[in-house]
Parts: sequence; structure tokens; C-alpha cells
Amino acid sequence: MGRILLVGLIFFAFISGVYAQTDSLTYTFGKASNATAVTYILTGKITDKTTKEPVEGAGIYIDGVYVGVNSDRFGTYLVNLTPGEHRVAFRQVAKIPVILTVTLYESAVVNLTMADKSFELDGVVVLSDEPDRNVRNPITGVTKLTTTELRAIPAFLGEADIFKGLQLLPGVSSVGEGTSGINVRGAKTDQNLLLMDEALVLSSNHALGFLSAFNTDVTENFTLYKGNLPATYGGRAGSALDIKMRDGDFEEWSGQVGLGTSNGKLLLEGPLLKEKVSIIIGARVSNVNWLLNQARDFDIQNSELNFHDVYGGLSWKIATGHTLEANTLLTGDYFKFSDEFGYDWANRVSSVKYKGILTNNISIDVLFTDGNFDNSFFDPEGIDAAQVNNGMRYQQGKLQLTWANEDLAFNLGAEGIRYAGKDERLTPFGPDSSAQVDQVGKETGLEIAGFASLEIELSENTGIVAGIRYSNYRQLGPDSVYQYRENTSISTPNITGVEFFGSGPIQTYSGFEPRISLRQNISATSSLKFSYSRLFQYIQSVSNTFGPTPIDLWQLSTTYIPPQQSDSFSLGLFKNSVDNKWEFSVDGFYRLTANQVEYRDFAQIFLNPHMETELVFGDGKSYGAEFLIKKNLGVVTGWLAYTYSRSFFRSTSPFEAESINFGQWFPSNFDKPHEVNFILSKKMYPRGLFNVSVNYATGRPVNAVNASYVLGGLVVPEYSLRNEYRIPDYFRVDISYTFEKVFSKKGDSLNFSIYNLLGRRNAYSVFWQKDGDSQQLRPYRLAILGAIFPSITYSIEFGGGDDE
Amino acid sequence: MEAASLGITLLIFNSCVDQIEFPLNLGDERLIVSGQLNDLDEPQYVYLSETTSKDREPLFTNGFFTINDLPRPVIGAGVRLISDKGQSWNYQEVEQGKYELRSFSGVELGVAYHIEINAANRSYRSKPEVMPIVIGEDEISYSFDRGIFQGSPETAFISIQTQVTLPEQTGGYYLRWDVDEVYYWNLTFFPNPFNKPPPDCYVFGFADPERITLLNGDLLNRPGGQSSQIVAERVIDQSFLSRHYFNVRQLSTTKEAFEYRQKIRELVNNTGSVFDAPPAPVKGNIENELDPNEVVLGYFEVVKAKVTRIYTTRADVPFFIEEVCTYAPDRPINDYPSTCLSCAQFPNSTGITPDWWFDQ
Repeated sequence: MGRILLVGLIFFAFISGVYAQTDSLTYTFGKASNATAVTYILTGKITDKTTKEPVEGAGIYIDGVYVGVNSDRFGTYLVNLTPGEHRVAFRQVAKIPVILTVTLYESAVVNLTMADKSFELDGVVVLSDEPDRNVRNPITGVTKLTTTELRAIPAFLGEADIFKGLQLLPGVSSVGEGTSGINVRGAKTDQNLLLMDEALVLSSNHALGFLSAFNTDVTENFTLYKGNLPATYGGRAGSALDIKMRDGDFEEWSGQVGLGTSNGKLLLEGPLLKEKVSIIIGARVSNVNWLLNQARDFDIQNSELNFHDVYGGLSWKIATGHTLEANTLLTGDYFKFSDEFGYDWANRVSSVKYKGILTNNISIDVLFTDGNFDNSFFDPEGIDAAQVNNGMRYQQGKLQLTWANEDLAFNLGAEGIRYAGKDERLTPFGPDSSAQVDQVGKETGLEIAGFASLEIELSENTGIVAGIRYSNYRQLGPDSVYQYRENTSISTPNITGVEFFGSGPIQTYSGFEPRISLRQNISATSSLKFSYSRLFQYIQSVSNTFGPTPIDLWQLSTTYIPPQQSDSFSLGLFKNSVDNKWEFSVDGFYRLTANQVEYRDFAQIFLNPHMETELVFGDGKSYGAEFLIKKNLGVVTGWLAYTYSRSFFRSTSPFEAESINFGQWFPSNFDKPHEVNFILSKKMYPRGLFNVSVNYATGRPVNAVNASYVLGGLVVPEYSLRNEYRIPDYFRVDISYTFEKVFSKKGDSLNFSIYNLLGRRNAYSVFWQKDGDSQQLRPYRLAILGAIFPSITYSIEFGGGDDE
Repeated sequence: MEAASLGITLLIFNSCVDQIEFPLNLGDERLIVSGQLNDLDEPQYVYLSETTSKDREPLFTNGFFTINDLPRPVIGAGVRLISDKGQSWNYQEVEQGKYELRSFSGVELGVAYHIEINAANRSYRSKPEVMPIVIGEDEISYSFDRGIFQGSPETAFISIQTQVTLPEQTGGYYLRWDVDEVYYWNLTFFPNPFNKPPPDCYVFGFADPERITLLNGDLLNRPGGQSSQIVAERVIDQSFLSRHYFNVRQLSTTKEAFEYRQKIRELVNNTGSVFDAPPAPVKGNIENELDPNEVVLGYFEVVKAKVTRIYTTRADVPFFIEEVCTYAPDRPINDYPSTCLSCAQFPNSTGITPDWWFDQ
């Protein structure tokens, strides 16, 4: 570790050295032969080169040493120098340094001008077109992140990742490193609605969750609604993340080919018809197997991990105000762990979207999506070696009409999604397997919704967004529904029969989902906001693993699996500095969820025709507060976020089989009460960018060993109730340095980053195992990324635009 | 614009699993029952013990964090085997916590058996089980190898394989393989006036108990088919200096017993990975008759069993094995490992030759 740090320091020193150099001016005052005084005065005035305003706070460095003198508010400075030659430097954080060589044998005046630094790289905060958006927008808990900002965040293996980036924001976390999805304000990962240009996405991860399936070469920005969803969004009980994809260039063709640490990349974009039709294609293919081969663990060495994704987007400006967009995202993953097990999953999302401005006030949006998700896992060893395949196919249609003027916007629309679960099928794996082919049918469902929302400025200080959504869900036949003995638990021993249903609805659920957000400005730079929303969720991912995985099953609501219903409240205070340079906010939230889903102990979720026997239903409760201090402008930008967040579950059934922890509230496995994220980005003149991020979180809850016992030589742990303990706290520091035009003025960049700078072995989980021949269990910590991960990436561009 | 990029990554993969300190709350003491009734001509036992919670904070001893929670035996309990025909047989305590079935004439087909336990003024009862009818056939073999074993490279180990012939039916059977081992241990032969050799020493143990080989017949479609599988692997050590038996028991269990072992396997092999199921308490088939909410650990199973044995001698082992107990005149006595001097140093050993020792 020490060696790496040394290399890093030398590297940074080298970088700093390169960019500290500027041209120096030479002045000579007097003659040595006439010098009689011990010291002479050097004074003068510093003004801004452009504005001619005095420059205050420029520090004076004599022969490389800061002498404690700064220019005053009039821009004047004064220092005493001994006779002879001196190197005098004037430095101010936002200005280009001025360095003089002064030979002084009498007192002298040197007036000079300083120019603003022009930074080529953006930091982790890029000021939007609406810098006071957080104060003016009525909806609380909306976070926007641009691809540029995302790329500035130090990333694992240098690959910018949307989910990792979002986790640096207040209220967003995950179960642990290497798990899929995000937990927003104490909600489960499947309670987050994931959209790609408003098209529904069910699978979004590569490499078991280490990387997102969204290639940042083709994304534009990310909007996360943390609790209060506009009425146009629905179908999830927690939050929504809409990923805006980038259009291809309408003017000229360009491309990019790259070979990175974890993948190879290709980007191609340009006009099919100049200024009318553009296309963008971005693709990534993994090359991580060489990393697995470096592992010390032989099983990991013998493992294989491949993934790819392809995104294609077509944009057609049909006429002024009318555009048609078509895009497709294809992802595929394959993972085999030694000879023990493997996973294979693929996802496709295709959508066509028409946007039209019908009159000065009316616009229309029409979206059609077709999605397909295939998933399989296999066990390649033994007499019962088998592969299990399942998946989901869905179609989504959405129509929105918007009437808007300067003070009011009215939105009306409808949305429908048809889900068709694919039959789950077990097949023998390999010629030596004796596994019996098995198949379990999966449900089909139709979710339709109508929505209306109104956004209006009631006065200069008061804004409101009110909406209503009515959603209706039908489980569709033909299908079979298991019957259970009355007044008993829904469990396998209580099955009394199966009832068959033909085409048509089997079970229907529906409900109104009111949404409201209020903003009251307290002053020109501060506001108080309140939000309430009700959300229904008719599809959930079912998992019996430590954390969410990319192969979790999507399960529709059925006769026995009612929809989840959440009520979210949020109250926040938002304050900006006058120039929007600083943002301060405190945002509290409280959410109650009914019919939240948990798994039973040792749940058998695959090839199970009656999933309800493996689940537990109950109430969810989450609450907390998010504190944020953010600096938007200047050489140094970034934020400090502290989140207090709790998330609990309580089973509500009177039957033991459907109960967890005797029906008492217990923390969810992603409940992390305290989370601190600090991220700082410093622009280094002229083309450098230094980033550091610090993350702390309370350890997540786990089950732990209460006792152990021996069964025929086998030491068996006896575990506690669910989530009774916590793993150790999490702490990680990442740094990165990027600078451009190092060797080529046309465009190249060098990135040096260190993920987990301190090399902390942050626990993902804790487990107990017998050690050697001992008859006692010992606690072990599994750290998924328990090492320092440094990476250096150099890229060079050629062709395209003019030289600098 | 075209661009090419070159990525260089310096990766240092440190070990990602290490022991930690993990304080625990004080747990409740729980009865542990481990028993099996099978159709083999051998003594039938039930083991009773109780969990303890002496140290709930792992102690750092000998370089490890250890929880001192070894179960303690339950002594003086009354244990009875009862059939659904109204017959009953008593178990007698032969060692602390070890109860042996007496005067039992053998398992009858189609008859359900359960046990009743009276301990500490509480009564417990197992759920009745009927011995399954079908079972497969095993033909076992072994192979020696040197390579990666449990993460350690260049390790010499033995694999015990079975060529199993499945029962002549599709589904409806649940099989498990347990492998135990017995080896002869040569105690140090010190010269003596009578040239009396040291006593015999047979050491009993379990080979690779964490493996828990299970086969669910409901998932297979090959009645009477054959397949091979590894049922145990073990490092080569001094136990292979003499005859070393592996006893492979194929057990045909009830579905409930099979599912119980599946859960135990999940717990034992849990490594905390992303894809592991979160561990949870496993409920067996024993209940407190008056308080069904009392958690009783373990299982009493009624199984059909077949034992197949195979042994190796030193001549079979293709690796060098150091002899640690060989007498040398100039070697001080305290230089010998204690196990070279007394068979009792092994936790489970005897000087009595097992009945079957010379059968094969």
C-alpha cells in the first residue's frame, strides 16, 4: 500500500509541477553599486485583466515562500525585499499565477494584471440553467445528475456508473458493494421505478451488480424522484429514476473507440440526414476475466465473467416541434463461478417515442415500449446438474397531453403495461445429468392508469403541483390458482386444490393515487416545501439472497399477493446563497407501506407454482432526514451530505408460518441509520481536475449465530432472529485526478484514480464457519472490495474538430 | 472524431475474508436432539445436548476469535422409541448425552416411529416418520490427487467417489450420503523387556462433513440409471500411514428429513456472498409437547440405510507421509506428539477392533 501511495504522490507532484509553470517577466530596478539599504520596498496594484477591478487576496510568494502578504481590497500590495534578484509570484485561487523575476537595488512599483483561470474540465457539480431550481421547484426530493458530473466522481475501475454515483447523494444507498440497484429513502430496490427515456427497464446491472448496464457514453442526465413522484409516473411504491439518453449528432459523424480496464467501448454517432435524422450507437464488451485471473482465490481464478451492452438511438426531426425517437438497449451477462454455479441473463428494451407541439400551448407525447428479460442460472455438477430459465416480456404504452402557459401547466394522460411472465423451465445441464425437465407457468397481468396533474404558480412565493392517478391491475387468465384450507396459513401443507381460470381477469386491484407538492418561498433564496404521494405497486422482485441480484424473479400481484401501497410525506427547507454559489437543505421524509413483501426463511422461489407460500406480507415503515451543503460554483465544488434514515418491516399475519420475528418491527437488511457522503472537486489550472469522495455508513443488519451444535461431525450454527445484529460500519475514501491535453493539443486525457484509498476491508456480510478441525465456529467478514483499486487510464482523440 | 484509449490498471487483490470480533447477545439455552433409526444391524443412538452461551463475545485465543459455546451433554434424560402400533422401547444412557436403544427387534416396514424425551421436567416428542422403502446401490472408489484443495495449492488429497445406481422408480425418494472414517493409528512402539507392542488404536471421525451430499429423486428422470459423484474429499495426512477406512452410508430419508438437511447445508456452506440465502434458524421435527414455541434443535430421522466401505493402506498412497510416531533412541519422550503415546488423546477413539474391520 505504501508503494502505491508513493507512486501516487510522485504522480501528483509531477502533474502539479507541469502545470505550475508559467512565463515569467523580468524587471530590474537600480544598480548594485548604488545599493546601500538593507531592504527595499516592492509595491504596486493588481487589477483584473478583463474587468479592470482590483484583485483582492492575491498571495505574494518570494523565492517560493509565502511571505504572509496578500493584496488588499484595492488590489495593492507591499513587500520588503533584500537587494538582489528575487522570484516573486502572485497567486490567487481563481486567477492565473503571475511570476516575476525582480532584481531590486531600489524601491520599486510594479502594477500588474491577472487573468481568470479558464478550466477545461467540469467538476462534480455543473451549474444547471436553473441554478435556483432547488428553491423554486415545488417538488421535494428531486435530484438531477448529469453524465459530466458522474464522470467526475472517482469510480471503481475508472468506469463511471450511475448507481454508484447516485449513492453519493443524500437518501440513496445500497445493501452493499456488488449488489444490484439502489435503496432510496429506506425503500427496497424493487420499489424504485427505473426508466430509460420513460420506457420501463427491469434489469439494469452488469457483473452481478458491480456495474450499471447504462453506458455513460450514450446517457445525458439522470433524474431521481426520491419520494414524491409526479402523477405521470407510477407502478412503484418508492422512487423513480429516469435516465435521459443522448441524441446522436445532427451535424457531423464522429466516433470513439476505447479499451478500458473493465471493458472495451465503441461509440458512433452522426446524421443519417443532416439536421433531420441522427443516429447514435454505443456498445461495451467486457474484458474483466484477466482481473479474475489475478485473484488469489483459485475458485475466482477459475471463474468467468462476460457482459456486453449495445444501445442504439435514432432521432428524427419530422418537422418543427415534431420529433420521433426510437431506441433499443440490449444487455447480456454471463457469470460462472468455478465449476459450482453460474448465471446468465439478458435484457432488451425497445421504445418509440413521438413528441409533438400541436399548438402554442398544447403538446403531445406518445410512447410505446417492448421489453424482454431472460434469466437463467445453472448448477453444472452432479447427477442433478440443471439449468433453470425464466423471464418476463412486457409492452408499455403511454400517451400524454400537456397544456401550458407561463403560469400553469396541465398534464393529462394514460399508461398501460402488459406483463407476461415466461414459463419457468428446468432442463438437464450437460449429457450426464439425470435431471427431470420441469416447468412452471408464470402469471400475466395488465396495469392501466390514467393521470392528470396541474402545476401552477399561485403567487410569486407559492407554487403547487397537484396530481391524481388512478391505476387498475388485473391478473389475467388462463391460469391456475391454488386453494388453501380456510383459517390456516398460506403454506404448502395447507393446499387443498387448484382452481383453473380461463381467459379474462382472475383478480383485480385498483385505487386512486393522489399526489401533491407545495412550495412556499420564505425569502428570495429560501423556501419550505411539503409533499404527499400515494403509490401502488403491482410487480415486485422476489429474492431470498443477502441482497438484490440481477437474477431476482419479477413476481406480479396475484390473488394472494396484493399490491403494495405506500403513503409518503416529505417536508423540507431549502436555502441558497444569493449568487446560488451555495445550497443548503434539510429534507425530512416518512413513508408507510402496506403489503410490503419479504421472503420466508429458506424460501424456495424458483420452480414454485405457488409463490405465495414463500412470501411474507406486512407493513413497511421508513423515516429520516437528509442534510445537504453543496457548493455549486468556483474552483472547488462538491457537497457534504448526511442522511439519517431508518427502514423497518413488520409481518401482519397471525400465523407463525407467515410471520417473521413474531410480528415485531425489525430493521430491513438495508437499514443504515447514519450515512455521510463528502465529495470535493478541485479544478486545477488549466486542465486538471482533482476529486475526492469520502463515504461512511452504519453497518447493515444481519442475522448472527446464537449457538452451535454438532450433527454427525458437522458443526451447525444456530442463527438469531432476522436482522438482530449489524455488520461493522462502512468507510471508504476514493480519489481521482484527470487532466486533459497532456501530450496532444487535439485532445487526450489521463486519469489516475484510487478506489478505496485506505484499503479498508469493509464488510459486505459476516458469516460463521468452522475453522480447520476445531469444533467451534468463528465469525468471518466477507469484504467484496477489500483492497486498494488504483487505475490509470489514458485516452487520445484524433480526427474531428480543429486544433486548440 | 475518433479516439483510442489504453487502460492500465494496477490491481492488488487482497484476501477478502478474515476473522473479526463480533460481540453477541446472550442466547437462550436450547435442547439439541440428534438421532437416527435405521435398518442396519448396529446400535441405534440418540444424542442429547444443550446449547450454552458461556462466552458471547468471541475470545481472541491462539490467533483466532472463538465463541466458547460448545454444547454440553444432557444427562439422565428418559428417552423412548414409540411405534404407531403402540409398542415402545427404551434408550439407555451409555455415555454422557449418548443414549442407546435397547431390546429393539428392528424397523418394520410401514410402521411410523417417533421418540419421546423427558429432560429437565419437560417432555419432547418427534414427529413420526416411516422408513422409506427404496434405496440405491453404491459402488465406491477413491482417487488420490495433488492440487488445489479448499483454496490451498499443491495439496495432496483423496476423493471418495460413488457410482450410484438409482432406485427403479421416478421420484418419491430422497437420498443422502454420510461418510465416516476409521483409521488405525500406530502408537509409538517403545522398546521394553517383554517386547510388548502398544495397544491397538482405532480413531473415528467424519470425512468432509460439510459436503452433505443430497439427491432429490423428484428431480430425476432416470429410474435405475447410474451416475457418479464425489461424496467426500480429505487431505492426506498421517492417518493414512496405516489402514484407513471410509464408510459411505447411503440413506433413504423422508422428504421432511431431506429438506431439513438441505437447510442445514445452506447454513453450513454459507459464505456470506451476494447469492447466499440469509441464514436463519432451522426448525427440526422435535417439539415441546406443552410449549410448541420452544425452539428445539436437531432431528430424529427414520431411514433406510446401506453401508459400503473402502479402505486404503500406506502402499496405496502415492505421496510421502512423514512418520511422526516412529521410535528413535535419542528422541526425548516429550518430543513425541501426545497422540503417539496414548490413543485417548484422540477425542473419538477406541482400542476395540470394529466388527467389520477385516470383512473386506
